[in-house]
Amino acid sequence: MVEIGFFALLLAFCLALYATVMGALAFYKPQSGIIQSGRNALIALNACVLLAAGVLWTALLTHDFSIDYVFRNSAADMPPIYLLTAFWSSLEGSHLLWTMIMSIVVTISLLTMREKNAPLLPGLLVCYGVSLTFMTLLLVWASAPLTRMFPVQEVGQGMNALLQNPYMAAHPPSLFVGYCSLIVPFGYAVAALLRGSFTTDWLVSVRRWTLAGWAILSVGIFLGGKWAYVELGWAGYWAWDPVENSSFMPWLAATSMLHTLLILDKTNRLPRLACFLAGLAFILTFLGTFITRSGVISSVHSFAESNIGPAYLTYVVLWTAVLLVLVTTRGNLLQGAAQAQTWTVSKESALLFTNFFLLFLLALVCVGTLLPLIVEAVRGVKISVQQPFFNAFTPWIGVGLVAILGVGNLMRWKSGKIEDPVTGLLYPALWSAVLTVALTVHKGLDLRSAIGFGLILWTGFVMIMDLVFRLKNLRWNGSLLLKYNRPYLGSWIVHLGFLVAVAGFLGGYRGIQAETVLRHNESTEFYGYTLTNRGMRFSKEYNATFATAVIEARDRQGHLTEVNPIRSKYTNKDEWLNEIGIYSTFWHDLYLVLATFDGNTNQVSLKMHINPTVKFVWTSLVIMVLGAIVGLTHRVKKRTLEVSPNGLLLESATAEDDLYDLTGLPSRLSQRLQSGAVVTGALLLLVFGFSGVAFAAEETGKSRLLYSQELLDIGNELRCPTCQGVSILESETPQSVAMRKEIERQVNEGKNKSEILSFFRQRYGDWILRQPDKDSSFGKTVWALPALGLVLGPVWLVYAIRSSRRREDEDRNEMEKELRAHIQSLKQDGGLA
Amino acid sequence: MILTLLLAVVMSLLVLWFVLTPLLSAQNFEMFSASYKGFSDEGELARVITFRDRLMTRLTSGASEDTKLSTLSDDECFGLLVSVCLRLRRAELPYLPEITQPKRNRGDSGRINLDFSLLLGLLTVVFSCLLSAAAFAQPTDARASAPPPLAVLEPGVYAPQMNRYMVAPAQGHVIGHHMSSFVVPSAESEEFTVVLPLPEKVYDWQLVSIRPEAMQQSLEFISWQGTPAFRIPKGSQSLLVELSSEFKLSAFSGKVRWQNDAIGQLPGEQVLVLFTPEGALHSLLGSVLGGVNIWPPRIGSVASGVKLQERTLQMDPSRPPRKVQIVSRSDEQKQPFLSFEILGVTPSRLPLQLLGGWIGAVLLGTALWVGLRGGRWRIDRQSTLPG
Repeated sequence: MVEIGFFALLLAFCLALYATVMGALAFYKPQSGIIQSGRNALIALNACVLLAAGVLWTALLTHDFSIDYVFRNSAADMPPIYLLTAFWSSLEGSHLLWTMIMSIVVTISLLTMREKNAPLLPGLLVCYGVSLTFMTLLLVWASAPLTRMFPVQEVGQGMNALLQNPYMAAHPPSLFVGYCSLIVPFGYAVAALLRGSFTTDWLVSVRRWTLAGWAILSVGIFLGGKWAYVELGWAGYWAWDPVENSSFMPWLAATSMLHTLLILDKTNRLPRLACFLAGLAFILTFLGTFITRSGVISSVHSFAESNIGPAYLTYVVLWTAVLLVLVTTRGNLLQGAAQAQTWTVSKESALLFTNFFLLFLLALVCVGTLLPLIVEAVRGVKISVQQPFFNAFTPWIGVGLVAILGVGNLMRWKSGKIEDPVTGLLYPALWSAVLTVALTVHKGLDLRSAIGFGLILWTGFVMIMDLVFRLKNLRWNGSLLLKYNRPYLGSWIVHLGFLVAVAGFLGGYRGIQAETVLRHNESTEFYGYTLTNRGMRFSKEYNATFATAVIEARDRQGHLTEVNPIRSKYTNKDEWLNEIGIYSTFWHDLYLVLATFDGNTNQVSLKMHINPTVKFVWTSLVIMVLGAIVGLTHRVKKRTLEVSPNGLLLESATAEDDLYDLTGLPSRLSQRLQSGAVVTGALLLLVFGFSGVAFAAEETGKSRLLYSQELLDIGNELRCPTCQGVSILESETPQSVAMRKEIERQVNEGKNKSEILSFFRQRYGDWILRQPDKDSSFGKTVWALPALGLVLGPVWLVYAIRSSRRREDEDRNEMEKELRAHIQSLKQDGGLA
Repeated sequence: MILTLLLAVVMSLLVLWFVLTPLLSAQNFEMFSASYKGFSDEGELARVITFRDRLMTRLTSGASEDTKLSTLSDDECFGLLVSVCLRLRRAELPYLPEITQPKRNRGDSGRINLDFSLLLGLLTVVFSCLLSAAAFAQPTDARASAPPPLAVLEPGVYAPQMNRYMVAPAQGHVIGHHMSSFVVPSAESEEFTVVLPLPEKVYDWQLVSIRPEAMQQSLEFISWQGTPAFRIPKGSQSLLVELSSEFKLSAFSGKVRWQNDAIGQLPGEQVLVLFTPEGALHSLLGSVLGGVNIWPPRIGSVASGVKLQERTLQMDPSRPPRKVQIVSRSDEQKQPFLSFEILGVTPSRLPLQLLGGWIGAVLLGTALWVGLRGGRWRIDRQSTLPG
């Protein structure tokens, strides 16, 4: 069967190539046979890839170690669930999973294609075909999962122990589904550019696929964060490391694209940007994989050692070039591309600014991720760009996004008019100011938290007011909102989820940490908890041995619970790994890491963290996904109702006849109740989101800090020499521990921060700094780049819009002259023939 | 091998049928859909052109059937006309009314099936030739050169009586390890030949070690009736020689025949160990698939007088024991050289690669053929439009 699986992949490669050729051919001969044949080839390809995937899964479950991949990534003593997930635990299997999901997505998109989108099929075939040709080529050439290995071994090497975690079992598939969903918008964009126009249902299809892909990608990214949180033991979920950034970049592009599609839908503007972003989001999924899989992270020179690196780079460069050429040469043919772009203060302008912030963040992440590679390639010097660099800019971008969110929602399309600005903006400002001041005084919020909290609260109230206005315009008819305004309602919920997430991130700044050593039955106090060591438990399960600390945690109310930080050791890995003990409440997580233990005396040393509002971060995902689902359930034939304050439909062409004039339709009690329920639900969500910030970390400073303030300051600027994306404070590797001790020694000798950092730079090079040195000329350039982007971005936008208008004027003048002459000649000839 | 190839061929035919059927159907010649740059569909384009003509009529005659247009001023109508014409021009379409439309051609469908059959037939013949060539190909690098014995095969030609073999399956071949020991006969004063009792058609034979090492320089490696052998020069001392070597046996179709008619009778001990990995499908359907040539490798068709056992063998204390099949024969009397079959070796992927290549050639050949049919069905974008 393995050979049949191999043959199926070979066949899949042939079919992908064939579909590409037939797609290209269909541009010159748009015959149904050619297009249907290409389409069938892609569907058959899906069957072939599914067969190959089935073969690999069977081999993993039956321990067929004659397959190299099975030998390297599974073992007979692994739990069955991880035998299944071993499928994507390494490069070749990940490629097969990716190809399988991509072919499934392609098949679904072809089978469910709307009739009116059929003219896009030639372009889609080329796009899908090229992508799948690349993927299947890897599967039969550079990254073949069904390669045999001889002599056959009896015992496999087993999966990477860090990946034996439920979150990591679900993280890659969800990420890949998100990535692969983006191929549909990409295909539609390229097809529209090749064709020179959108189809009637282009926007509907692209929006649905983008929204679905965006939601699933969000789930994937959050699952990755959750895995890092419960497995790695540094008490965080996001470190801006290249692997995380790789998945974040397409997400940002997709988010920006969703906003651009809204502008395109409502005002027929920015078609080229929409197409470009659709392409960019998809290409970034491959760029991310290039960064993470080619080996460039460890060294820029290592990527050429395998076939994967150059193959990915070629593919990314090829698609980028094609996309840029298409957008620049064909984009002007799209509907709305060359119309006069008069941007006034309006909802679309607010969305434009939202887009700017999103794309600026994307550029920042992209530059921050790629810069070390480029510098190493060009100058032969290694540098690091890590968390401090990103954290210096992202809060400001977050402030911009949050601030514009509420105001933008209140604005109307093509008009900057805000309905009742006093009620819509001023009252929320007053309410949020009162609440913020009260909480700052009562809970002791610092300035950063107070400003952030106030801003989030204000935006939240403005959003509530926007919902109220909309319901008011619908004569409090809640059922109309639920029936016809689901995209609005969905986006409203998503944005609220975003605010909850920001509230969660904000609360994270107030986390505290401490360490302790507890003998058997000894207790310690930490943030209102009494933690007692009740000894150790040892167990063995499948391929892992677990050393579990039994820690009794009693809170202020006397509620008793057991927290179990664990160290685990796997048969294929020598070192002990962390399994974090977490006691999660509504407001915070008590996060315990078992640093060391003595099995004989039952003595344990613990790292203790209080992580405020972490649950809000996870909950925000649920809210955002819920919003996306609400948006996706909208019946596509009915667009969002835009109703004026007088009750007149603003988009009469797309609404049903019985809705033309709402002024004469009194709402029934049930409809009014629905309105009440919607507003109440929104308020509850809002209160939930902000309560976390309010209640987080009341006793900062009462516990023993893990590190001295000097060590915190200096250590935060030095990277762990052997890890990705974390500082020496968050790492427990021998090198990081030694560096921490060295810092403490030098601090005790009286050396200052600058001297200590210089010492480490001399020893390791500039690479040891987590951010480019602000004092060097190169560092200044790196820090100036984002600032320049922030300033030049809007300038460029204005220039582009103005030049577009100038071109339009020139075209119009020329056409006017020609038509006047033509009409004159027709008049002389006696009219139109 | 045959089973795998058969499944692959069936799969390929199904795929070819599914993919190529639309090309061969009568509907192939219907124009799929015209594309109009800048317009969602044909209907929208038609509406825009109709509107343009109404505007033109309004501007040239001063009146219009359209009541809305009648209420507009000339300047407003002209502004609209400019916008409409700009849109048409951007779509690379004629924007003024009097444009001669080229005729649309439609091709005949009579010859398509014949042409396609010829193409398919030609590709089938080419593929069959390739497949046959691959199937009957012999390993080209089967070369002989080397090692030693005690039993007399013919005057001046000896073979070791103590022979042990270990066989490990690989892709398209098996790798054998041969160990033997013998004493150089003191009575032999002339140069003599020692034949290694290996099966026929071994290739990539190489000496792994020989003791005493100094002996290696005085040996001349040759091939004796296709079997590796070596010459020991005259006057050699009587001493114990231990020798080990590695070789390969082709299992192109997944089956290996272990025999050597040239050696004929060979006394002494012969033990062969074959590592047998687990095969899920075979284990599941063992009773049904007992004799079928599928994974895992196993020994069958053992000659009479030869003992076949299944055991577990601990090769390395740090690793779990491995399952093996052992073929052994120990007899002072002369007995035929070991003869049996090894089934279930992973066959070579070359036939599958050739079949894949053939499918690719058929598909791309078809695409090429369709592309070279000329422009008889080239679409005329404006053909169905008003105005």
